[in-house]
Formats: sequence, C-alpha cells, structure tokens
Amino acid sequence: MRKKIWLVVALVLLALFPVVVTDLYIQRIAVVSCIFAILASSLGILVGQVRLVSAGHAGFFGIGAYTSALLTTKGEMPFLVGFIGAIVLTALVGFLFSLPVLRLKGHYLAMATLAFGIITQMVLLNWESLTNGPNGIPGIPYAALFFLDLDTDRKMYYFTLILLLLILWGLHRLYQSPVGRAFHLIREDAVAAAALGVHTVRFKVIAFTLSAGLAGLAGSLFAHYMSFINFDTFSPLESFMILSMVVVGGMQTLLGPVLGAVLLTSIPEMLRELSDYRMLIYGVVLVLVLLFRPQGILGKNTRKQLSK
Amino acid sequence: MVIIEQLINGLALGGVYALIALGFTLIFGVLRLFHISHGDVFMFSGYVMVSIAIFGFGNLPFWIVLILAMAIAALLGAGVERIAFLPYRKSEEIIPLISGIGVSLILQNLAMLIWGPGQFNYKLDVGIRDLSFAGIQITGIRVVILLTCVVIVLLFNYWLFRTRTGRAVRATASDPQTASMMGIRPEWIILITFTVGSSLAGAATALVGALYGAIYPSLGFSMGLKAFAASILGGLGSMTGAIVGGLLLGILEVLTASYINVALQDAVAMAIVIGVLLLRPNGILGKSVEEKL
Amino acid sequence: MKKFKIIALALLSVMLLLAGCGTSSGSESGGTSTGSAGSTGSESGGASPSKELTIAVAGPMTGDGAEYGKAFKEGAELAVSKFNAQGGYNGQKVKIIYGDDKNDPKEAANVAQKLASNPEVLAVIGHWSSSATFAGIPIYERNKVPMITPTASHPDLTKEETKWIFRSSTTQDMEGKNLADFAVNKLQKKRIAVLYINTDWGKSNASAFKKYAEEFGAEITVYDSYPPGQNIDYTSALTKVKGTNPDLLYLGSLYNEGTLIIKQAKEMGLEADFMGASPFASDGFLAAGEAVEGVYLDSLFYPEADNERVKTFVAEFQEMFGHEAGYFNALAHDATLAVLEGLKQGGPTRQGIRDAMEKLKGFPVVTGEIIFDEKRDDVNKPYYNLKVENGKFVLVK
Repeated sequence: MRKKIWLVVALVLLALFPVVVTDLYIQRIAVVSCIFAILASSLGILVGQVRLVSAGHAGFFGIGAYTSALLTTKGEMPFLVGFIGAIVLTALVGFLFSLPVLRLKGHYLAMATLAFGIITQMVLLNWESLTNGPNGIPGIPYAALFFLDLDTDRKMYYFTLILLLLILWGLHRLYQSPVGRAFHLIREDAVAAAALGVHTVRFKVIAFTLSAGLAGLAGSLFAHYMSFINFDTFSPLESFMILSMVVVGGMQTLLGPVLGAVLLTSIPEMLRELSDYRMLIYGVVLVLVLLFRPQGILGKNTRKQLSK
Repeated sequence: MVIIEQLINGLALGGVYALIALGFTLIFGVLRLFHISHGDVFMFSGYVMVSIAIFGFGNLPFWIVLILAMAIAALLGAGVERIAFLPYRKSEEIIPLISGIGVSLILQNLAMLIWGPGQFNYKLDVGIRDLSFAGIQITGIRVVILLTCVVIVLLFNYWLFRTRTGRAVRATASDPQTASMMGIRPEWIILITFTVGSSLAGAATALVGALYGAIYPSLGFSMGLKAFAASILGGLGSMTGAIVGGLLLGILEVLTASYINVALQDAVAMAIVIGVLLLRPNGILGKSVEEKL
Repeated sequence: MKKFKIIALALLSVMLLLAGCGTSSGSESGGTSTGSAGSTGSESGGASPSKELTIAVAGPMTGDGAEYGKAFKEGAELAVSKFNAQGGYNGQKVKIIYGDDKNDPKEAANVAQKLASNPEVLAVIGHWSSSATFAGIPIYERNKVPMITPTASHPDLTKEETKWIFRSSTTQDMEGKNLADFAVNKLQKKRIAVLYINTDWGKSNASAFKKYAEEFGAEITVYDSYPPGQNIDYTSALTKVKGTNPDLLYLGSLYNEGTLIIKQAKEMGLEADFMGASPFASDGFLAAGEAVEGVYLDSLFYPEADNERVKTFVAEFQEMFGHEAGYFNALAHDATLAVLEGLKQGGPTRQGIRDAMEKLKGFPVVTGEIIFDEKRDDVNKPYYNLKVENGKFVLVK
C-alpha cells in the first residue's frame, strides 16, 4: 500500500513538472534525461539481467536515430513510420549480430561489441550515399502523432515520459515472467541453467534483440528531438557513458539505469563551471562505485550478488 | 614496384602496433584480463616522459629517456592494477572491465587537464639516419622499432622459459590454483606481469614518441585499439603472435588505403577483431581458448 | 520499498536544483545563468542587469576544439572592449557571456536553448563548426535570436527562410576556387593528390577544390578522406599518394594533422609541393618549424597586410592579449563587430539587432567589408595567397 502511495506521488510530480517549471532549458534537460533513461534501461537488460557486456551500445542508438531520420527526411514518411522502422531495423541488426557473437564469453564478447560499436560509427560516417557522411542529417522533422505535432519541449516531455513509463512497466513484467527468470538463472550460473534445460543461447538472443530494439527507439526519439544528428554522437565514449549510467544507478535493478541516466544527464548541466572536469569525475565515480558499492545506488546490499 | 613499397611501408607501420601489442598480450595471456586501459598507460607515461625529459632536463640522451619511460609506465601500470584489477579477483569478469573503462576515462581526462586537450609536438632525438633505397625511404626509427620488437620477444622467451620467475608466471597462467599450492604467490606474479607488461608500453611510448614527435590525450585509446586488434589477430597470449599480428595489420591497412579507400583504414582493425573472434578466436598463433557457455 | 523513497527523493531534489538553477526571478537570471555558462569577464555581482547589455559567444571552450573557442573569446573581447571604450550603446556597456558547446551538436543544442531562454541575451556569435551550428539553428530560429557564425562554412547553413541566421565568413566554394586557381593557374601544378579530413568542413573544402582544379585543367590523382578525430599515422594514405607521383599534395586538413602529414610525407621521400587552406594560417602551424617550410596556403586574414584596419587590429590585439592575432581571432572579431553595429543601428532588442544587421552594406571590418546577401552570407571577403618562408608567412603575388 505504501508502495502505491509513493508511486502516485512520483507520477504526480512528474506530470506537473513542466507546468511548474517553465524554463525551456530545464524542460530540455528533462526530455533528454527521459530519452537516455530508455537507452540506459535497454543496456540494463543485457548488463544487469543477463550479465552480457555490451561495450558498443551507442551503435544501436545510432542505427535507430539514423533510420528514423532518413525515413522521415529522404524518405518523406511520417514520424510513426520512422519510429517503428527504427525499432524494427535496430532490433533486426541486434538479432543478426547476436547470433554468431553470443557464443563468445566475457571479455571476448565485450571486445566484439566494442568493435561493433566502432564499425557502426564508421559506417555511419563513410556510407555517404545513405547517411550524408560527415554532414549529418539536418532538418529532421518533429515527432508527431496522428493529430498532434510534438513541437514544444513540453509535449515532447510528456510523450517520452509516457513511453518511458510504458517501457518500464513492460520490463517489470518481463523480469518477473518465466523469460525473466531464465535471464536471471543464466546470469547467476550459466552452467547450471544449461543443465536444467534452459536454452541459454536462445534467451541471450532474445535479450539482445529486445535491448537493441529499445535502443533504436531511444535513437528515434533523439533524432526527432535534436533535429540534427551526425556520426560524432555515436562513439565509443558515448557507449561508455551509457554503461556508466547503468552501473552507477544499479545494474541489476529496474530503475537503476533510469536513475543513472537522470543523474548523469542533469548533474553536468547543473555543474557547468566544472565542465572541464566532467569526464574525469565520471571516471572517478565509476571506479569508486565499483570499489565500494558495485551494486550501484539502487542495488541490494549484498556483495554476494556480484561474486563468482 | 609499387607493391614492394606498399609492403615495406606496411611493415614499418605495423612495427608500431606490434610494440604496443606486446605488453597488452602479455597481460591477457597471463591474467586473462582485457586491459582496456593499456593504451592509456602508454599515453600517460608518454606525457610524463616528455615533461621530465624535455622540460625538466633539456636534452637527455635517448637511452636514458627510454629507461625513464619504462620506469614511469611500470609504476603507473602497477598502480592501475591495484585500483582496477586487484579488488576484483573474486568478482565477475565484467566488473574489472568496467573499472578499466573508468581508469581509461580518468587517465585521458587527467592528461587533458594537465597538458591540454590539443596535440602536443616535441622532438626526441634518437640519432639514427633514414634508410633509403630504390626510391623508398623509411625513417631509421621505424627500423629500430621493428628490431626492438624482436629483441623483446627473444628476451621474453628466455625469461619465460629459462628463469624461475618466468616459469612461475607460466605456471600461474595455466593453473593458478596448483601454482599457489606449489608455493608461488599469485598476487606477486600478477603484479610482476602487470609491471613488466606496462613497462613495455613505456618502451613503446619513447620509441613512438621519437618517431612521430606528437602526443595527444586520445592517442592511447586509438593506439590501444590497434594493439588489441593486432593481439587478437596474432593470438591473444602469444608474444610472437603480437608481432605477426601487428605487422599483418600494418600491411592490411596500407593495402586497404591504396586499393580501396584511405577512409577505411581504421575499419580494418575492427573488422579483423570481429572476423577473428567469429572464425578463429585463437588467432594465428594463439593457444587454445577455453570457452564456457 | 526503500527504493521508491530514494527515487522519489532523488527526482525531487534534482528537479528543485534544476529549477533553482534556471531562470526564476528576473535579477537572479543574470547571475546564475552567467555562472553556469562559465563566463569570464564581468560578473553580474555589481552591475545591475538593466545597465549592461549582454551578447553571447558560443563555441568549443573545452575539449578538442578548445583553442578555437579561446580564439573566438579573444576576438570578441577585443571588439567589445573597443566598443565600450568608445561609449558603448548610449552609455550602456556591453558584456559577453559564453556557452561551451564542446564542439558536440548535442551540447550545442543545450547551449543554444540555454542562451535563447535567457531574455538578456541579445545575440549569439557562434558556433565554430558546421555541425554544432546546425544543431543550434532550429533553436535560435524558434526563439528569434539573431545568430552569426564567424567560421562555419557548410553551404546549407544559411537559407533565405531562416531570417535569424547570419554568416560572416565565406563558403568553401569560394575558398576552393581561390586555392585551385592558386595551384593550377599560378603555380602550374598538373597532377594533384587530395587528402582531406572527413568532416563537413573538410569534405566541402576538398570537393570545391577538386571541382575547380579540374575545371582549370589539372588531374586529380588521389581523392580520399581520412577519419576525423586525432590520428597520428598517415603512412597508408601517403603510400597511396606517393604511388601516383603527383606534383602537389593538397590537404583539406586542420593544422595539427596537417603538420604530421607533411612531416611524414617528407620522411617518406614524397617529392611534391604542399598546399593547405586557411586553417594552416596559424602560429601552431608555423611552430612545426622545418617541416612546414615551403608550404602554400591561403587565408582571409594576413597580419602583415598593407591595410589600415588590419594593422590597427594586429596592434590592439597584441597589446590586449600579448600574442599575435590569428585567423580565428579576426573572424570572431568581425562577427562581433557586425552584431555591435546592429545594436548601434537597431537598438538593444533581438529584433532590432537582426533587422539592422541584415541591412549592412559595405560595413568595414578587418577581413573585408560586410555585405550580407539574401541568405545573410557575407561574401565580400578577399583571400590572401601565402607561402611559408623562413618560418613566416609571406604573400605570394
């Protein structure tokens, strides 16, 4: 019961936020936080629920962003086509990539995903006939639902917030379902899982595909909100940032990545004087969190969770 | 004759990759750890070396600078090991990996804050002349780099197979539990390996610095990626493999630039990584890799 | 359970902090947003906002491009301090606040929104790169803030329809034509290899050069880009170049990698001349010493030019900052002058400045005389063709 009260309080606060705070700059930070919360949650599926390291997640983010941007600019399709297209295509890429790669374990998987992220960025840069090369894609139209153009920060905020909440609810149900239990079993002891008849590769592929699709969704939102994207954003550094969000917030929890995203998006804006030190602080925070509280801010208090 | 020049330039280029790959592959071979910040240790010790050698003491002879760089890198590497790897001996693999990412961010940004984000140019004199024959010209330093790689491997093979500490390292690498039962202290071995591997990065930074005369904070990460591709190609854990991988990578990059497009030269390394991991994870000369699920 | 409390509290505190940091009350806004934008120069502590007029400079203040942000800062500061010394706007002084876009389009959008939301900001001089500028444009247009970029050169940045966007530098098409003319017609080069950095700037620079060089009758033997970001080894690219035996290597590069490429080319025994574009016109390039001797380039700004305005600018700059003025300083200075003139003629409002700027015809600045065309591009800028001789730039007639 108390849980529900806090939930309602939180939802009310979130809903009233853009009404109370009318500064467009802050609304902007809020929208970007929501988009990155979706992106971080997508990585959380892999890193937190199944313990698969993806060090190139910005690649999926980029594929989603470019797909949506291209469909709506060159392709002149409406936003929803771009949006769905981004999700589907990115999920497909994730699926195809995961099939051969998920045989690899631990460090090898990390290396392969890192290489994937870098190659994706290079493709986005060099496939000029498709992606416009270094010029990027300017003039991406606003997101729009059938009747409504999301042309203000406030409208975009509600849209992304609602999507985020739906996704979180969906993931919550997923993590408690048999699929989620399979994920956790694979995470804790893959050998035992196999011995118990759990088809580990199949579940890993499911996790990867889902994760990629959600990252693509975040990418589409990002493209239509920024109205300009280029390859520069989708770099290994960005991948590491998303990873930091997940780890700092609490990788094995549902809301950890969300918290990490909100913190790591808004705090740098608040501390603009310290912007010189920003990345240094991220590195230090990452190392310190792993040393002293590897379960992240929201993680449960047992170190056992993360031991062999 | 163009192809000859391409091959020679490819080897000259690959020598640099091989040199950095040596330390990386040693650490992976013994510890099974993807030391993602090896390149950043290379970069950071380069900056310290330049500060001391050029600003501290004016013109030091090269061999002193070399030793200085190796010492700095060894210290730095040992420090990184204490912070980012030691605490996680008993934890899941992904934790030291992520911690390594944190270290990488710290080293790169610390360098940016101390020495500025731009490219820093300097001059390090090795006193070797350029080689030129049949219309092809190579700077002498590149030849020195190639020779250094070979010397290092020979020294290493001697150390690993003929000395007691070397044997202890090999024992720990293949079976840490039995090794510790035999009285070898794995903690000590790990620290030694890290220190030695990082000192190789220091040697690389002195030689590479003499070659290019420039350094910038992201140099470590990008060189690190090439080194890592070279190691995978040659076979993770094999020092000879690191050289073979490095030289091959250099040649492939030159050929890709010449026959396909210069723009793709960096893609070669990453494509190699994925290709090797999918098709032949052992690499060309690698030892067998145990795969769990 | 505990988790929800933590989250709700965290959300609440983040929102409160952000709200406090943004514009809530009139007099607060000057202080906090100035502080958060990392301004130097006057703090709002003493001066009350109604007495000082604010303009903004946006560019890469930290990160890879930090030296260019610094160059913008210096150029703008000189222009503003002179304006203030001459009486300002009817006795009101102008002050500058800064936005750091880190040369990243995502940051640029945040900076643009932050500046646009600050009602005191009357105009923005910025950004540096085309991609950062692209990211900011929709926000400045939407919020009706006049923006003038001193350097971004992508042709699509300015359009007739975007009434608030100005550009006070030439497009790459003009520079490419000038350099091609220099290389083919004046220096008589017949076989030219082209390498360029794969950014929007490098691409448009090199393609313009190629187009005109071929028109003037030269053969382009290599036309390839190398990846952006910092690279150190150009052996592969240069091997390809050397294999085609060119008499000129043209580089669409920034000066840092430019010096590396030229040095490595010479080490490899490439027997050709070298030519670059305006980014080479800087002290950093000359600092490479021996390696860049004999390199050709062009520039919109030449400190030794026989021109009163240039001489005055160079002297005043040296006095204020203690080092020689460079290309980016001059461009930022001129863009700021355009804004200040707009203020003088149009009054201290965003609309006023915009309308007045649009009408500038032949307004004299260091790099030429500003005439904005229908897309609000200033195309009236002459080029100086230069060569490096004995460690200095000399004019090539």
